[in-house]
Amino acid sequence: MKQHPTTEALLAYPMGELEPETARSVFEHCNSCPECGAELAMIITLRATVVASERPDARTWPWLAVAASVLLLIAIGVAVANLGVGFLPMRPWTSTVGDEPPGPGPGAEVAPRQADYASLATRETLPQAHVDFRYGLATPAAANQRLIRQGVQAIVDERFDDAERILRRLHEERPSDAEISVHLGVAMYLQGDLSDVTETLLRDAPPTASLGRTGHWYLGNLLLARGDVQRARSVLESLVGADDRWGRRAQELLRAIDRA
Amino acid sequence: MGTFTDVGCRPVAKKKISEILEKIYRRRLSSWRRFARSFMGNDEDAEDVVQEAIRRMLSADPPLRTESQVDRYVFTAMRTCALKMLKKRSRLVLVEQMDLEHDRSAEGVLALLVAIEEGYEGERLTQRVLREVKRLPPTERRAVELLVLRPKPLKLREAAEREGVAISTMHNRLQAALKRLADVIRDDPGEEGKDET
Repeated sequence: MKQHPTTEALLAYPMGELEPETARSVFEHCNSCPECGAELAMIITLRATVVASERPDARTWPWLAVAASVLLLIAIGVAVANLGVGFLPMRPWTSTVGDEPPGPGPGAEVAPRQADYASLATRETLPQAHVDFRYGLATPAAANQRLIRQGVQAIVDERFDDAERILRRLHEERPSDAEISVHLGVAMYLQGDLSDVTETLLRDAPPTASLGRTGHWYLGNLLLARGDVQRARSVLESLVGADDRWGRRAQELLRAIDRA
Repeated sequence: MGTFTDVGCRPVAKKKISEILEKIYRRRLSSWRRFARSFMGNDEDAEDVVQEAIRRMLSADPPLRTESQVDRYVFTAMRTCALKMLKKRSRLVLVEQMDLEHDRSAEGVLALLVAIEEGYEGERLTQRVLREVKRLPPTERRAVELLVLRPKPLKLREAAEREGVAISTMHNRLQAALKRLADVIRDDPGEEGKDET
């Protein structure tokens, strides 16, 4: 390949969208062209990073976490009743992939303050009113709208696996549709996926619109769950002021953050 | 394609890792393939990388005991295998072209990928890349998010429409972001250690 490959071709390379021979010749060119080489190397690194940072256990996580939380609460209850020890901060919504290191042993420092903030992040799903408001009580006529509604209804019903499957398929067909992106982000967040991919999806609509306000509510909670309190606060503050569900919830959460 | 037990590894003393692999193989295979494809650019070569990484792991029999340890090991092994395959192929290309006198490959994509690989251990690269993306100017960060980071990235035209800018503007933002990222990540791999403190 003597000419520089187009940016579209460089972007298509790590997605496997080029013919194998074309992909090889793009790589060959980039191997002898520092300008294109730097671009392709970073595109490859970014794509590989996205895949590597996906949570391998996202699908099973919420149920394990709920079970663990119940056991933990029982254990704490027993400890408090029998030993009179103080309340132990929980780590209910972690963002790390894989194994957690063992917790601090006796005499270790108190759990980080970040864990207190993370425990404030919501796990509540969307209300049924969200579906009724967006799609009306009648089944929408357009096939795509019907599918989106099915996906959103699955979120409301806490069938997050189904929701993600339906919405991901739609997202692949219509990647620029903010309605699909935001709801896919909500489904991923509620499964415990706190990755940058989820963050990007939730940001897909501006907080001025109804859809964007929903996305930003969960975005604020995602940042809080990660322990990024400053950015979480800024996102939540953008919701405050409007007399709607998300405005009121954001106000309450900001107060809780102040108290924490 | 067969399973990982069909790739020619000795079955002795591999029970533990084999069992873990058996459990996560179907669930993680699609991610592993996508990761390998990022490097190789096509599914055919990506499949070879995945198989080679698994073969290596089974042969090495590292002391891994959990699913996520095995998962991380496969990613690391795939990165190593992919770069090795690309290096091998690049040398062949250079010899075929008899272009050794004007070899600029020391500055090309492979050299940069190897430099990045050598500068970071384990998951530090992932953490560093994600942190540097967050530090980009907002318009450049948005370009990277839309065009590269999304599960299904947008095309240049779609991203430009979404942002309400010209395609050339979106293109320039992406190029600027990639250059900025390449500069900091390649030239200062030790910097990520400083951030931890």
